Amino acid sequence: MNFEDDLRAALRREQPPADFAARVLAKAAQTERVVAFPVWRRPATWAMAAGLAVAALVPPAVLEYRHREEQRALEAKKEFLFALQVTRTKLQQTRARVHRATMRHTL
Amino acid sequence: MKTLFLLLGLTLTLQAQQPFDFHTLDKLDALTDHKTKITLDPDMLRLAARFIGVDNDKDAASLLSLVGNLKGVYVRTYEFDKDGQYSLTDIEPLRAYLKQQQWSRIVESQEGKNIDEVYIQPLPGDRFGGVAIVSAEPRELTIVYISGVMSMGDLEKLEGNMGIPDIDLKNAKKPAAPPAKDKKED
Repeated sequence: MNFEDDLRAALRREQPPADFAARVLAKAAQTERVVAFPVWRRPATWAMAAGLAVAALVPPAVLEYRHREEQRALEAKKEFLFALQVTRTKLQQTRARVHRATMRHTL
Repeated sequence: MKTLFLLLGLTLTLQAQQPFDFHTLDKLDALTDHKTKITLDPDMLRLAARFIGVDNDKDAASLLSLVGNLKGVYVRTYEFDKDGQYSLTDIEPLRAYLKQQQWSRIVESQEGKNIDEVYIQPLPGDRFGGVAIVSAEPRELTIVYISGVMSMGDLEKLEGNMGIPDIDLKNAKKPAAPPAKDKKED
């Protein structure tokens, strides 16, 4: 066995069968039909689904955010009024004590 | 040299504008469970302003004009079970701050063991930059610190009613969370 002869035999030029080109074209046409995307894989479908999801999720999130802000604002207002109430009470108390002290010194 | 003076002036100005750090009073927290802490920074005051007048608050206009100029409202009240549970040195950081920032003590009153102090931060033109109240009783300590430009008229209004609802301070501690939206009071 001569290796070079084997290699030469393996690589020798051969003519394709007569119907080779027709078979390749037929196979290619068949493959094109298989590659066509189904509806659920089309970008437009995904874009539409994403749009619907955003439209469904965003308004409740905005409402929830607004509601929480409103609660914080109400809490802040209550605390503010409470702080003013403490201030008023302490100022009045101080005024009363100063008044009593002044009266004692006057008498 | 001129730049050095400018930098020094800027540093002093920034230092002068440093608000009081209420964390320096945190050690009082450990002394009692009966305490109320209110901290309203400019953001919270803006939020509060959105709801003033909504519920037909009395003197809403006065309250709005006051809150619009405020930079911070801080209230700390502590109630103690026994006399001597706290010491005046516990509030020394606040007093030192007021002294350092050149606030004027306009009232200093002592009646027995009750001490009241009222400070204002003077500004030009019959206005001031804040009011601070320290009221120390044997079993109760109250600190009020309001920062923001006010007039003497505002201070007088603060002492008057000014549409502030009456709250039983002895029994009502820090305001509870507001009711749920669907149960909102009128």
